[in-house]
Amino acid sequence: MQGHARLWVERPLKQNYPCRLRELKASAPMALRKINPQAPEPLVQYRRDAARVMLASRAAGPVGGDTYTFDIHVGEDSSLVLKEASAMLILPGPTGAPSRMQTTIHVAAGACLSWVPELLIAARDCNHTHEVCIKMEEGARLYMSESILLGRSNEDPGNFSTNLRIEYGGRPIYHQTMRFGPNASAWNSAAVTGSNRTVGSAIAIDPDWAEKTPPVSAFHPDAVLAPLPGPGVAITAVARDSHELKQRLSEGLEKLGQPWSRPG
Amino acid sequence: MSRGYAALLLLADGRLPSGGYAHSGGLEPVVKFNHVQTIAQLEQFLVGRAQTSGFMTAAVAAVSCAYARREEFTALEAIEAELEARTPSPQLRQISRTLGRQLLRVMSTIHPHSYFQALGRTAHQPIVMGVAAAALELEPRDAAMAVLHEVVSGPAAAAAKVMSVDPFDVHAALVRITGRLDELAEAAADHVNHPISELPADGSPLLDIASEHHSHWVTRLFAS
Repeated sequence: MQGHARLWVERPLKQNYPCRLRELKASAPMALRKINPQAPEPLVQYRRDAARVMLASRAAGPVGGDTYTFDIHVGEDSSLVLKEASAMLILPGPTGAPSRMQTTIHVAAGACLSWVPELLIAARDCNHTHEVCIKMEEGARLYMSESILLGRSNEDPGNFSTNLRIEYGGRPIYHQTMRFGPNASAWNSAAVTGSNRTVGSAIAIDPDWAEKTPPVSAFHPDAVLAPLPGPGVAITAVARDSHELKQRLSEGLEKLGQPWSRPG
Repeated sequence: MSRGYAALLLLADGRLPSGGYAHSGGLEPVVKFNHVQTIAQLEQFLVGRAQTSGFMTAAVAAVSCAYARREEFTALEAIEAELEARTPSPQLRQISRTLGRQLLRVMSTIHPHSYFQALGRTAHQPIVMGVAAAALELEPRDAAMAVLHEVVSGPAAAAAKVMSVDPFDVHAALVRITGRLDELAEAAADHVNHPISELPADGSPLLDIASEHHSHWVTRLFAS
C-alpha cells in the first residue's frame, strides 16, 4: 500500500486573514484536517495568522509493506502549526515486508513551522524506516520534536530506524540516524539508549540565534540542551517511559525562555 | 591491504603522542552514572560506540582519505559541515577539534607532507586522520580502521582506571569485537562512492548527554 499526503501553506491573502492552505490532501489511511485557531502559540512566535492542521488516522499504520510519503511546503512568510491526532503504532505486516514513512519539508524564508508529532511506537517484529528531511531557507524558523517508544508494554522493538536531517541555508545543521531492534547491535548499550524505553529530541531553529546560540544546559542526568553548529539548539533525552520523556523535552524548552517556553 | 601494515600500525598506535590517552571516549561519565558496571556492559558500550558515532567518524575519515588522495581538498569543507551536523554535542565537537589539532601537529612534524597544508588549525580529528592516512599512502579503509581502533581501544584503556576490572577481561572483550571492526571499516570505506551528504549519521544519545555533563565536573580523570 502506498499512501501520500501533501500540505502547502502560503501567506494570507489579506491582512488579519489566516495563512492559506493551498493544498491539503491525503490518501487513506492518512487524513489531513484543518483545525480551528486557538490561542496564539509560542512555538510560532505567537503569530495570529498561523494555519493549523491535524494529521489523523495514523494509528492504522503503517504496517509492513506500506510506504507513506508526506510532503509539506511552508511558503514564504507563512506560518503552520502541524499536530497529530494520535500516536503512530508501527506494526509488522502479514508478509514481513518492510514499511517506510518519508516526510519531506520545505520551510521558505520568513516562514515558521511548529511540528510536534505524537509518539512513534515500534512494536515487536516491526521492520520500519522513518525518514524526515527538512530544508529551511535562511530566515526560516522551526520547532519540531521526535519521541520514540521502543516496544509496547513488556516487549522489545522490531527493527526500527529513524533518520532526521535538517538543512539551514543550504548547510546541514542536524543529522542523526538511530537504529533499534534485533538487527542493530548494542542499541540498548550505555552508548545509545541504555535500559531506557524511550528516546526523543526536540529541535529549535531561529534566525535570531545567528550571532549567538543559547548556552548548553545539562538540566537532567538523562537530558541535555545544546547548541547546534548553526542558529539552533537540540534537546536530547532518554527516559523510562513516554510521560517522563515528554516532561524532559518540555523542561528543556523552558530553558530557552520566551517565546519558546510553555508550548500549547 | 597488501602494503602499508607498518604505517597503519604507527597511525593507530595509542603511543603516538597525539593526546588520545587523556580521553576515555565517554566511558568515565557513563560509569559514573552507573550505566556501565560490568565487563558485559563495557563490551556492549564499546560495540554501541563503534556501531554508531564510531562508524560515522570512520566513514568521515575514509572519505577524507579518498578526497586527499585525489588532492580534491575543497571537499573537506563539506565533509566538516556534515560531521558537525552529525555531532549534536558541542563538547564532542570541541574535543574532535582538539584531538584533530594535536594529531595534525604530530603528523606534520614527523612526516611533513603537502597534504597537511590543506588543513586548517581547527580540523576535526577524523578528517586529519583521513588526510594523514593519505599522506602515508594508506587506503580509505585503513583510515576508517585507525579511527575504529581508537574508538574502542581508548575507552578500553580507560576502563582500568575508572572501573574495577581485570585488564585481561577487557582485552578478551576487545578480541571479540575485532571481526566487527573489520566489517565496519569495510562498510565505512564503501561511502567513498556516495555523495558526502549521504555519509552515515548514526548517533549515540546517551554518550552525547553524558559528555555534556562530564565537561562540567570539577573532579574527573579524563578530559572526555
